[in-house]
Amino acid sequence: MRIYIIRRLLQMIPTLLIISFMIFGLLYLTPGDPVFLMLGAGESQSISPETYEMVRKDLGLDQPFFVRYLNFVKGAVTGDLGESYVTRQDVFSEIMARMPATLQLTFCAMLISVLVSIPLGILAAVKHNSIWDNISTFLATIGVSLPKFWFALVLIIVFSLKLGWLPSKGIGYLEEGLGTYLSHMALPAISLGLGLAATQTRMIRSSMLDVLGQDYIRFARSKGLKEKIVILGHAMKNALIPVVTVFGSEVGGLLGGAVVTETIFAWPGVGRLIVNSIGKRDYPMIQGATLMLCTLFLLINLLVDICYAGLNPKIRLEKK
Amino acid sequence: MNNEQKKDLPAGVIGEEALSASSYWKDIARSFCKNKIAVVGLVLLAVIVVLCAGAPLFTSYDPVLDMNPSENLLPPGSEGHLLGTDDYGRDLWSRLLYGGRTSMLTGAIVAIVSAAAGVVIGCVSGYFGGLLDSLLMRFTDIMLSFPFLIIAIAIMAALGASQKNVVLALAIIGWPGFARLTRSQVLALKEQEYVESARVAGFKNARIIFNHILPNAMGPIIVQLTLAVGNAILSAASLNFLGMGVDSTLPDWGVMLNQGRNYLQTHSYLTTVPGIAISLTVLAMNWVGDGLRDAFDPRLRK
Repeated sequence: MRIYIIRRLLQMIPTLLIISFMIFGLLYLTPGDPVFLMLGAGESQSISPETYEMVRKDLGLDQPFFVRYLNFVKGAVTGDLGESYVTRQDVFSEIMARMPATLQLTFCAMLISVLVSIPLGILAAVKHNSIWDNISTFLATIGVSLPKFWFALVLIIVFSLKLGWLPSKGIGYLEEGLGTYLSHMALPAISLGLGLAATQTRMIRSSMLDVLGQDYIRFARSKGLKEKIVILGHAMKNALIPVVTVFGSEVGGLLGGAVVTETIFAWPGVGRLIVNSIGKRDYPMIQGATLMLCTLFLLINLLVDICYAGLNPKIRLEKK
Repeated sequence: MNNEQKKDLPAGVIGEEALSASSYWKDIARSFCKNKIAVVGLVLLAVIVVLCAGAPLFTSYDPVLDMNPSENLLPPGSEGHLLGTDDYGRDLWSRLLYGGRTSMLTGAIVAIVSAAAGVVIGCVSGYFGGLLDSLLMRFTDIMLSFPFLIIAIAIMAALGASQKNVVLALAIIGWPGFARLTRSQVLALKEQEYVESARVAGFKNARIIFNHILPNAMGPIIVQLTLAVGNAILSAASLNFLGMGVDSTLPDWGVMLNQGRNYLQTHSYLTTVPGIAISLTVLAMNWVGDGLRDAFDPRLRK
């Protein structure tokens, strides 16, 4: 098991290298001279050649592409992602300041998704072809088809603007009380979580249907076990294994969706930071924040895979 | 296949003509038609496509140029404006129809480009195997492990906002799924006896791949293609909504949502109308895709 985790951690390295190379390369190709961006001046404005050269050297722009990339990677490993063109602040600490907000939102969305999808998916499979099955499948297909950001806007229209029950903007901190915290969290987390729940419900349903057709389920039933025990004890454990594997990659969609959700709800997270930085052409910030979100995604995936390995005896008991 | 080849190989010997392909597709169509929801999806999709493709027939307003500040922000049901007007006084119904053209065209092109690239890579990888296969699949896996919308946003930030770049960004993220799927199909099919016999008959690799293997791998690829169109419409709408997609003067459902956002409090129909349009289109696409998946599944086909 420990060797499995170490192997997985090592496998992350080439992936991260390729991601960082892509992001770095992309932003390198972007038109516009970083020196002018850094000095906050339009290209028409006159900047003395001395100042220009100084800033250029300072940013390391006089070096060839690969040297700059290597420096970027070297910095990234030690938590130095450069400084923002706009605020002159350290990129890494700016991102880390916003990371908790993103993490909390993502975690609540995941929680909502699990709480909704497991009962719905199991109900649909157990009552296969019944009205419950049809309703939950129908709802899930609609959930998959709605644009998540539009769903968020509809939630705002209904619950904030028309009914006035919940705030439509910003984050509530725990210090301000649990009520404030939850009321601010509710709409963003629901709009993000229900989208994922739709995908998950469909998956749990088909996986559960597969398992319910297996011989050991028939055996358990013929032993005279109570239906509740057969489903919750025997079937569910096995049906959730394939769902867990896909859950990791679904989180990628969740983090991407968080970028849009955070923008809509003015949520002070990393996603909104990316969108704002793109507007200001703050390339070090875009580069750093994208890389950090990708890393977060890989780490969550690793965590999910470790849980999966724990669930699956084939991997858990592997000696190597 | 050209006529010359037909001459020196009598039809029916190798199996390209022997198996009646038409009855296979008829079977698929029959089993698809038995699925009520799938048929509803297909009809819904046809209606939407006809409405958008024939936009000039169903509205007399220009979606961009016909601005009328004195008639702005009219609610749905107003005289002369079925769905009302937007903040510039442009007819919403007309913007919806023309916007559908942009959105659906973007979705379709993204899906086709990603499918084409993914299928070619998947075929090469699966058919030839070896080191090339390992390298291609390692790269595909890494591409699949990206949080896709974030990468799309990064690509858009670098390339700048335009419809061409939206297609490019979404296709770059879209192809790996097709590559994986095609490869697994090719791997299973290339061991079949009819492929073996085609190889013994001395057919070129390209001909074996395109005439013998691919037609039998089409089912899952078509299903994936249908679902990919819906996903691409959603992703493109997200990018356009964030203002990173197509030129904001173009009518597009995502752009309309972005503009309607400023009037959530007072004129929420500016947001609900394009949102419903996107949802219905993607829903229809998903119903058709699910129906096709069931139709192609031999276990479910009777």
